[in-house]
Amino acid sequence: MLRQYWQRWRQQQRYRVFILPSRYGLSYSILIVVMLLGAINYNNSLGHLLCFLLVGVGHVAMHHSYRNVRQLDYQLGHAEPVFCQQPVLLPLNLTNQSPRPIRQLDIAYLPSTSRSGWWPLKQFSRYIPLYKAPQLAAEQTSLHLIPIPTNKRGWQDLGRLRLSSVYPIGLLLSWFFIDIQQRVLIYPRPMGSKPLPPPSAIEDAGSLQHQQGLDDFAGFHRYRVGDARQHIAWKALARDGILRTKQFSSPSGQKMLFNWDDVADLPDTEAKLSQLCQWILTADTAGMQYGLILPKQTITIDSGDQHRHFCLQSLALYGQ
Amino acid sequence: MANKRSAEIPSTSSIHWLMVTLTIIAIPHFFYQPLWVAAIFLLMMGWRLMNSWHGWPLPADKRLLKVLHSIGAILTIVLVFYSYGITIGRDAGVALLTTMAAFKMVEVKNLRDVYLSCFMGFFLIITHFFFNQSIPIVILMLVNVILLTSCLITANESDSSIKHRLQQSTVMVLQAMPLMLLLFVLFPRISGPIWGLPNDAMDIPDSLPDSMTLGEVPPQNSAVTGMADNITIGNISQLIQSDAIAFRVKFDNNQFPERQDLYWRGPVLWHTDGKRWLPLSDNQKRYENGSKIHVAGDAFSYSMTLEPHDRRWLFALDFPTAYPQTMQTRLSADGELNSSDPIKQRTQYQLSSHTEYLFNPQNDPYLQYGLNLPEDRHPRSQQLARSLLEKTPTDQAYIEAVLNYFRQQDFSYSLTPPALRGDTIDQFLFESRQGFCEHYAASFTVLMRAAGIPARIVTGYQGGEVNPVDQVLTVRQRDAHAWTEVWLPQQGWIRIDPTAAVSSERVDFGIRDLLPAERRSPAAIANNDRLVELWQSAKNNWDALNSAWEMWVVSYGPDRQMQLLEKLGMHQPDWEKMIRWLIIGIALIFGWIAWTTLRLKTIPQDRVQRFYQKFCLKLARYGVVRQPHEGPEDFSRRAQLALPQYQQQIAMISYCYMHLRYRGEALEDDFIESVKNFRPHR
Repeated sequence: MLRQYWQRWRQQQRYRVFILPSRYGLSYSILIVVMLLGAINYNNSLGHLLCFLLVGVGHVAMHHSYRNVRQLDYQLGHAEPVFCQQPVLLPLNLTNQSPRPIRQLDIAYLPSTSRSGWWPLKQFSRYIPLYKAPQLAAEQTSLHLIPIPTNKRGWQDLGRLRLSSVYPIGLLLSWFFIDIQQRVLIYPRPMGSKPLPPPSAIEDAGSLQHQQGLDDFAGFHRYRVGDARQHIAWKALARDGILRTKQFSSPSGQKMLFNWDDVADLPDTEAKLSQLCQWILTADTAGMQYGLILPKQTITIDSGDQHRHFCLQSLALYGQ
Repeated sequence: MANKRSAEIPSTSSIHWLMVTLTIIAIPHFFYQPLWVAAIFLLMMGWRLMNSWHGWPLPADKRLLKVLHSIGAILTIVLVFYSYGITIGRDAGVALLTTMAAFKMVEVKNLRDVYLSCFMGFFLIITHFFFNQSIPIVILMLVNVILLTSCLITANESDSSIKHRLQQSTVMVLQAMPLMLLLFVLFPRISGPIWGLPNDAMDIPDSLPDSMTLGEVPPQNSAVTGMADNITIGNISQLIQSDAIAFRVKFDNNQFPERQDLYWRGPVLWHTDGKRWLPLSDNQKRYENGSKIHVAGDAFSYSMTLEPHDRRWLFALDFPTAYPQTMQTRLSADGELNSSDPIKQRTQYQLSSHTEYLFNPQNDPYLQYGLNLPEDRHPRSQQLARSLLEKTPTDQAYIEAVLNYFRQQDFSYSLTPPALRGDTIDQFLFESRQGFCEHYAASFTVLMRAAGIPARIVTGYQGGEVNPVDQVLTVRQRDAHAWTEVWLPQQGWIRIDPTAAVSSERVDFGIRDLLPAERRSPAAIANNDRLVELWQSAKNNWDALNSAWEMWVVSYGPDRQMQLLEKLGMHQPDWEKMIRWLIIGIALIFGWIAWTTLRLKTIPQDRVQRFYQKFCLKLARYGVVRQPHEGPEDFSRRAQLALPQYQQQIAMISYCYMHLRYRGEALEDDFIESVKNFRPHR
């Protein structure tokens, strides 16, 4: 019976809460010991009383601290790719299941690379404080974007979040871990001052017969996955609920082909990738069509969000 | 672990809150400490306030101010040494702590400093108890701990409202109380001191002097309780100014002796130079086999709770026949009960006494001391003794004659007698004829010795007040008394109270009735009998509460702990048993607090909601857990698929619920009924 309850309780707990005194908590206990010695020395009964009250307060603080992080439920969202050195905004849904607000929640991050070492507490110094959650109202769910720092392009394994709190009086630290178990693509950092290369002279007439472009409006077609978001006809959607994409014709037919050779004069690979990334973004915002030629990969000229992602992904994973 | 947080700058509001708290904690000390302590404290608080209100620079902002601040702190330390001497005693320590807390307040700039200040605050709270251990100061302690806890809350959460921080800290302190009480009762007490105590570790109220000097008129407005230096030479009339408690007595089975037998025996005085009366010197004093007591009647058993007086003597109802077991005591041959160590803390002991006794009826080792009178003193008194002796055939008759002399001449009892000059005894007996116990006891003894009857003065207390609420007899310093004992062959030492001859009220009703009315009740109500009565009963209750407080809380030490635990049914308590019960108690309190804090479920007010939750819970037990994103319809569909054998019931309940929620039709009872009947099994 009891065992059943215990197991059910264990199942309900999605995470294990750890609790340890902070250094203020340690000083607090030293304070109590010193005061108790004084009270004993002076045979002061009320001095004992005060010491015991402080012991009681510390004990109660432990329960409150535990409760404050215990009754939290979380759901991790999916992290979207970002450019290097921009933070990954990891969506985190926090639900306060208790009838009391949850306060002073700090979120820190441990990159997966530094999760080693036999002494678990050593990791504590490696946690990077990221985010101070505002007070979570009772029985409410709120969405928080946790800015996880990035510094390398390519796939990044997201490590572990530590949700901790020193609530209520800072003597104890309660925390639990969330293993993110996701990897997120980090695009190269868009950087570089080289002007766009001249428009491509290559005419690949076969695939681009109708000269899709961006300059002149040429009518609608039904939305297809990958169509640029800024071309969606929102007004039309509001009218009849059908998702359409505006089509433009591009009489000039500006097509860009970014070639690895165009950036050959830049000193290192990262700088080259950054420059290419910069060009892709410029072309994309301008609504141009573009393609990419990398030493071992060629991406044909196209446009749209998916195409952009494909190009950037090739850059991000270049050489990996 | 939290090292990154320590650099955080505390908000102004949290610093203000801390300042208010520390000031409230420090205020009681201002009454005991010299004025400059309060001045420095308030000066520093003012500086910090001016910084936050008008942007005045703090020591951290300017090098010059930093230097000034440090110099100020050093000068304060020097000042403490200058005022209190080089050894840090109680008062010096408190002065130092108070001022240093104030100096620290000005330089608080990060979380670490806030914690340091709060911890100094906790220390300041405990120092209150060196001066005062009353109920109000403990209530103040609770308030102070609540305030300091709220400071810690604010330090970590600067945007918390005053209401929240006070509410939170009050809840915490209240929840902390069960553990506090448990530890207070069961934590094995060690009797201190572990290391030395400073000389001023406690206040010693007035106590009986160890000698008596006639004719000194005490200053009228002397402090009621003073420090140790005025107890070496005092006199009894000074004590009559004091309402301080000397000791409390609880008679077993509430069997009280007669009022006129309530003589509490203390030091015995023998030697006199005509003015001063002194006890036997240490090498004259004998202890073993010095006294033979023959008793009659029943013994009175009682427990005494003696307030500290820093002397060795213990008081006992005249005459003690069984001695305390709990402490080392001995009875001297002249009937003084002495402890082996000075009484430096409130002490309790169990005694029993007989009020009918014969003390050394055959012989006494000190008879010759009881006859000594200084030569060439008291000529008129000697003359009187001789003339009375001629008229009386026996010693008894002589004693009666002297007492009659006091009764018949115009002697009167006065707490404010005129000053005596010259031969004090003669002056009192033949001129002023106004005085109190001391005067009568001394002159009576002189008259006895002049007639060759051995006599001595016994000092102690007479009477006391029984509180009707708890039946505890309280003896105060104002009950101090002096009487005489004369030795007669075959009868031994007989107590004779010459004061009673002059003022029988003093003995029959106690000193209280002789005090001016404003000492008995506040002047404002003294004219209204009903109010006086009401005031008296309130006072009795308060006194009973205080007496219980002092016996069971303030003087709760190793002995009291054993006593209490035995009363609570612990057989032969020792620290192992205490620890065992302590662990059990802590586990219970842990469980209780965990339960109160973690009670997670909020019970919805709405019945429909409540029963729908019950339904979800029943399904959850079989693995069908409603997800937060699932509406009742989706959930019902999924549940029906998962538990096909209950498809109908699930559909029915969900349908009813949605109906009730969204259409408000009166299916409520059906819905609740069907949830109750829903009992899924695998």
